[in-house]
This record gives sequence, C-alpha cells and structure tokens, in this order.
Amino acid sequence: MEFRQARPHKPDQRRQTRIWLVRFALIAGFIAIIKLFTAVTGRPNPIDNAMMAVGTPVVNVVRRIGEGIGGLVHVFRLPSLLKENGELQSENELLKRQLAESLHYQNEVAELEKQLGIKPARNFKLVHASVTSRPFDLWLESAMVNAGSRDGVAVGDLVVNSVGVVGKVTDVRRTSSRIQLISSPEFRLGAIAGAQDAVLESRAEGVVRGIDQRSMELLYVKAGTPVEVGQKVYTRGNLSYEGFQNLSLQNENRPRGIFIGTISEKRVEQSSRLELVLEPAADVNRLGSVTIYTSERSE
Amino acid sequence: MKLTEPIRLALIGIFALLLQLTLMLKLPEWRVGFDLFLVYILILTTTRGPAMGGSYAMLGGLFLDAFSGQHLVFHLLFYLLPVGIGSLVRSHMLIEFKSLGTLTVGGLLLFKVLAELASALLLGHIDSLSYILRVNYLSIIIFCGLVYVCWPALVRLMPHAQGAQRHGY
Repeated sequence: MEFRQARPHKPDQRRQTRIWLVRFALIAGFIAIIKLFTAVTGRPNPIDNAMMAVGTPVVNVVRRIGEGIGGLVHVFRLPSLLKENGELQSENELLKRQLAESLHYQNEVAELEKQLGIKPARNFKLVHASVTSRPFDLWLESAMVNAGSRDGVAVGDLVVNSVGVVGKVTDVRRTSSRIQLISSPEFRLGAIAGAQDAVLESRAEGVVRGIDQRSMELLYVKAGTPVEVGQKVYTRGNLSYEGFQNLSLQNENRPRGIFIGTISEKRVEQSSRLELVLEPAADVNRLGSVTIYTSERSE
Repeated sequence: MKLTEPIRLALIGIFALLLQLTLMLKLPEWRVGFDLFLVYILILTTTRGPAMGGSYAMLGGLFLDAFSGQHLVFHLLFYLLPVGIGSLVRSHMLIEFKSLGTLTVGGLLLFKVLAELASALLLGHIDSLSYILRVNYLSIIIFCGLVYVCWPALVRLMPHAQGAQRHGY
C-alpha cells in the first residue's frame, strides 16, 4: 500500500512553502555566522556545546548497546580465547627474557663504542602528537598532527604508533605537521628485511613503497636474497652523525630497526629482482595518537 | 503497543542520524556515498511538508556538525537541499516514483562530493581538482542501487500523512 501526495492547488500553500524555506535559510545563515565567528576568534561554540551535551549520552548508550551485543558473540569463542590466553602468556615470558637480553647487549655495544672511540649516532627525541584531521579524499594518503616546528618536528621525521611505522613528516608548520601515510603510493622509506636471527647488516636492503591500506611493496631487493614470507621488515634508518655535511640527508634522520610490516608475498621479477609484498603493521584507519622521532639537532 | 506518528517519525530519524554519525566516525571512506539521513529528509519533506522536514534537517545537521569537529556548518546547509528539493517536487511528483527518488538522491550525493572537494580546496587540504577522479564513486552507485530497490519500503516505513491520497497497487 502506498500513497500519493495530495497536489496543493492553492497558491497560498506554495507561498507557505516558500515562507518556510526562507525561514530555514535565515536560521541556517544566522547559525553559520555564529559558528564562523567562534571558529575565527577561537571562542567556545555554544551551539556545538549544547548539541554535544544533548547528543553524547544518546551516542554513548547506543555505542554500549552495540558493544554489548557484539560482546555476546565472544561467549562462543571462550575455549579458543582460553587457549589463546595461554599461548600469549608463554609468549610474554619469552619476550620479557629477550628484552632483558637485548638491554644487556645494548649496554655492551655502548661500552665497546666508548672504548673504540666511535661517535654515537644522533639521539632521537620522541614527540607525542594527536591526529587532528584527515584531509578530505586523502584519507589513505595524509593526516595532520598537532605538533610542529615549535616542538622540533622537521620534514622527513619518522612517525610511528604503538604497532609500527605510520608515515613520515612532509610538511611542517609552527604548531602542526602533515604526515604522508604508509598507504600513500608516494610513500618511500629505506627498509631492511631478513631472518630475525640474521645480523642486521647482512639482511636484504630495499625501499618500501605504499600501495594501499593493506599492502606495501619492498623494491630493489636482488633475486636470491634469503628472505621468506612471514619475515619482518624494519626501517633501515638514515643515521647522520655530528658534522655530517650531506645536505640532502641532513633533514632525514630516522632511527633504525623500527617495525614496518611482515612479508606476505614473494615474486621474482624478470629484471632478476625480487618483488616482495608486505602487510603493514600499522592500521592507517585507526590513527589516534602518534609518536614522531625528531633528531636532537646541535644548534 | 502502537506508536503515535510523531514518536515513530522521531525514532526513525534518530536511527538514521545515529547510523550516519557511526558511518562518519567509524567508516569515513563511506561517509559521502552512504547517507540514509538524506533519504529520510527527502521522503519526510515530500510527505510531510517543509516545516517538519526542515526542522529535522536542521537538528540533524547541527548534530552531525557538532560531532565531526571539522565540518563547521556543512551538514546544516547540505541537509537543507533535500528540504528545498522535496518541497519543490512535492506538488509535481508522486512519491512512489522510485527512479525519480533515486536520481534525486544520486544528484545530491554528487553535489555533496563536489561541495566537500571545493571546501577542501579552499582550506588547502588538497591542491588539485584531479582528486575528484580518486573519489570512491562505487559507494554512491551501491547506495543509489539500494535506494532504488528499497524506495517503496522506505516510503511505507513512514507513517501515513493526514490528507494524503492512498493508492494501492
């Protein structure tokens, strides 16, 4: 059963429609002026505040209901979750032991560097920032963060989150910066791939290129290099030392050994180079807060 | 329990609005193509007139703008368009014309893409109009297809307006 709208024949009905449209346009214009004024002057917006106050409880209730319904599904996964929990606990113990060992080796390396008179690489300062906006239609390419030159951020700095590399800084303003994300086809970063037990220097080096949010590519790896599917890929790093004069790299100091992703596919190209597809560790759709590795510059 | 007309309309509106907010915050790449609240406003205005459609459109627009943080007044102004179009076609179209309804929704979604691109250019988020080629048009096509299929059901979902001529088929 459907219905057909009664055709308004009377001219006063059309006039009434026009009056309503003009009223709404005027109210919308008035609200737009208020919101523009508050946005320009930086004052708190009373309209948004009122909407948030009214809407937040409703949104929270709906979200909790959704989470509750979603949580019921986990009851059916209880046996597998218990098994997974046991595996994670044993993995946690192993990781704790490996961390203690790596700290021991780190101290040993620092001691050896000191004895041999090797100048240490520049240290990195960690700047924590929040993603403030994602430009329209460049969702998978860039993001804006609320840290800029005032915080020591420079073009080329590496951006990571708790999982792995997220991108690098391409544009710096005083209080904000633009990040080029790993999912951008323009993204390039030096990387090292290879067996976890191999010495870092003997691993395969290449350049990581973004494809989309689920895949990246490791380029320029020679065919026959001992890399396999499932192995992890880390940043190669451009560690410049004090007094380093190469201007092209001066602003691209990045730490070595930051996790980028895992090799998911291996192909041999005709030009006798390996084509490796990576699954990135970081999810660019879930960027809340990030950390920027800025080099401590000697001014 | 039989719900009265205003309560039923409000519940449908709140559902459409919350669904749109969820899409905007959780699946932003689908936020342009999928807009259930737009369809709701269009049908509401066509069946109930500009006063009710406009009130819901303004409240919904203000709500989405408050939660997005970046759009300022974009949704407030955008949702007035289906009110205008719905009011204009009200006296000329039959609500069961699903092709016309789908074309109107498709046109409004394309306008939404262009308006967001223009504002992004003005704000300096993008520097070239060539980004229009990268917009995910698939979501718009899928949504228009859904609207075409579900249009009669969506119209039936609304409580019948007083004074409307009913036509069974």
